[in-house]
Amino acid sequence: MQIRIVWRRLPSTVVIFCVAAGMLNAVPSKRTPVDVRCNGDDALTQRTCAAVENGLKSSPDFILSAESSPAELVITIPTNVDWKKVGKRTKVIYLAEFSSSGHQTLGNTKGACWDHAISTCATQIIRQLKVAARKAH
Amino acid sequence: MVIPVHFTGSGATSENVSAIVNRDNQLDTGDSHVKIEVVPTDKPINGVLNTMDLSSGYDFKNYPKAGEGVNKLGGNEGHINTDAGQPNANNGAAHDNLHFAGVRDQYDEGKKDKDGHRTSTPKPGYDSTNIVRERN
Repeated sequence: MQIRIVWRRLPSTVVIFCVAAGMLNAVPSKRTPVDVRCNGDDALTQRTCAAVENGLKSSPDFILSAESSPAELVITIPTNVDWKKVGKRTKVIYLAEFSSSGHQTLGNTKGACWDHAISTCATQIIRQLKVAARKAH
Repeated sequence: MVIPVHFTGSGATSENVSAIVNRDNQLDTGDSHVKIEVVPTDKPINGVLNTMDLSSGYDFKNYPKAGEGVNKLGGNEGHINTDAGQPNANNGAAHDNLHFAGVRDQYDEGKKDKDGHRTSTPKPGYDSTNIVRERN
């Protein structure tokens, strides 16, 4: 009988333990400052870059660099983004390069998103930056 | 390379349009067989008509970084803020007219300066005399 009660309470006990342990370890993690550089000035390229900057502002891992927090990583859109019409919609096709502020190349990523949902491109780029950042030393 | 452009807006004076067209049409493409011809017109040429709005104010809704530009590389709409003064506005329009034809920018953005302003240098093979090396 007693064993049955313990088993019934086990899931909630585990949850409480995990939450408590998480709170103990909840030290604010350091957000890495990132610079975004855009080698193109057409609207699609401007919008892609602005979306990446906005994405960094809300990222738990990165922060947009400023004078007070010089960049440790750099995202470069090396040339004007490409696009193609698919029916009535426009697909944005991008290349983004990653490097450290010390010019160490950390790779690149290619991808695409619809122009009416350009933040999707930014999310993809920032996700790949997280992978690339592990190579930085 | 024929680029038909309908210049609109309060800044589309005959003087400004003439300066923009002359700037583009006198460019040396580096290939004697390739000549740029911006044609100011309000009628399509071979089904193509681009519109360049020359008027006051930045449009950060459509151009969130520079406040001006063309809608996309090979696009057909552009806006230039004439408040930037001359020759900046005309040079910006001449630069952006080339994007209508799909010509890419040829600069590398660098680290921001101490005031937070963007900096750029021409890509290898280009210099400060080239129209695509920066916005102006």
